[in-house]
Amino acid sequence: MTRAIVIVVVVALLAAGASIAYASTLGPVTAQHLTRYAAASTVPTSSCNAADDYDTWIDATNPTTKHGGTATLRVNAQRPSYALLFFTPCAPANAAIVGATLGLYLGTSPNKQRTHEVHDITSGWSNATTWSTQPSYSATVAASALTGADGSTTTWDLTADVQAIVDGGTNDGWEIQDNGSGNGNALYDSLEGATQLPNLSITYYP
Amino acid sequence: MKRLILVVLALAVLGTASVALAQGLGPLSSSGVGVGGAAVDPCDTDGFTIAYTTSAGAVTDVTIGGIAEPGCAGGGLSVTLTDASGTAIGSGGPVAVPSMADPGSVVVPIAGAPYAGDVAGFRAVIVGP
Repeated sequence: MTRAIVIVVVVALLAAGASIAYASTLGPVTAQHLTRYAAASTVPTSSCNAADDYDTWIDATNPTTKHGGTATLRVNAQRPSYALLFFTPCAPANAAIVGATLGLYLGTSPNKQRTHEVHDITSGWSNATTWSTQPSYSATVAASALTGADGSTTTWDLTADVQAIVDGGTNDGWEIQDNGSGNGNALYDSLEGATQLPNLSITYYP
Repeated sequence: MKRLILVVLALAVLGTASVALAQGLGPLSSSGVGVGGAAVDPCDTDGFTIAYTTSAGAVTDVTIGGIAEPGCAGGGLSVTLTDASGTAIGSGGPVAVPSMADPGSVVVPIAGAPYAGDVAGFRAVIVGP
């Protein structure tokens, strides 16, 4: 019986010793902080706006006349006249465009409300371009807007167009046409205008 | 045979005693490990600020500011960006918090390229020091 007790004690001591030896290999339990913080937060957008680089209007009734230096851009359906504007978007390349708005100051409004459409120009031109040398343009309407009263600003949402441009797409500017018929003379301020320059306002994530 | 039974019995008693002892120690509350979702013994108590770096509309890095020093130096900072529903849409870290002036800031690269417009909140965690 004594021998058995001795064996049990020895085994127990060996087991305890082994446990201590193993525990010593685990290293010390070090104190550790845990700091957590959560909050609502949005990524702020950037914005910029700039006037156009150049503009003109072309006139079917005077097909060879240059209007690049005039203070207004005429848009008319009955006597076909289109406004042409070229902007270099102020947003950086590859920016994610949240919004892009073209604004033109309507110094003289048509005698009744008209719908003015923006079309993408698809070939090169300059402010010396005339009806006879006019560039090609897309039949697709990029944006349309109703004209307001004298002294109002007509705006068009060109977010998709500007996104395509900053993504590396071709930029030949925009042409503004009256989509109706009948007479309705609209005169927008041009780059040489006195009140408000043509403006392209862009909100974006860089 | 009788001796073998005694040996087995002794080991069983020893094992039971060890488990009982371990249970008696209770949680490691003094170590600062979180209990029940609350921060215990945080290295910073007044929150953090965040600033974003984007490329092509995607968040690439965030700068976590307002980090208390020297308390948080040596910790590991992780950040998760969430959308309006609270779902994680990008994350980064852990990045070691260096020793710096108080309050400090740390840049954390964000994986997942979340669209900047989708970000509605963030979670920042510093484990340690």
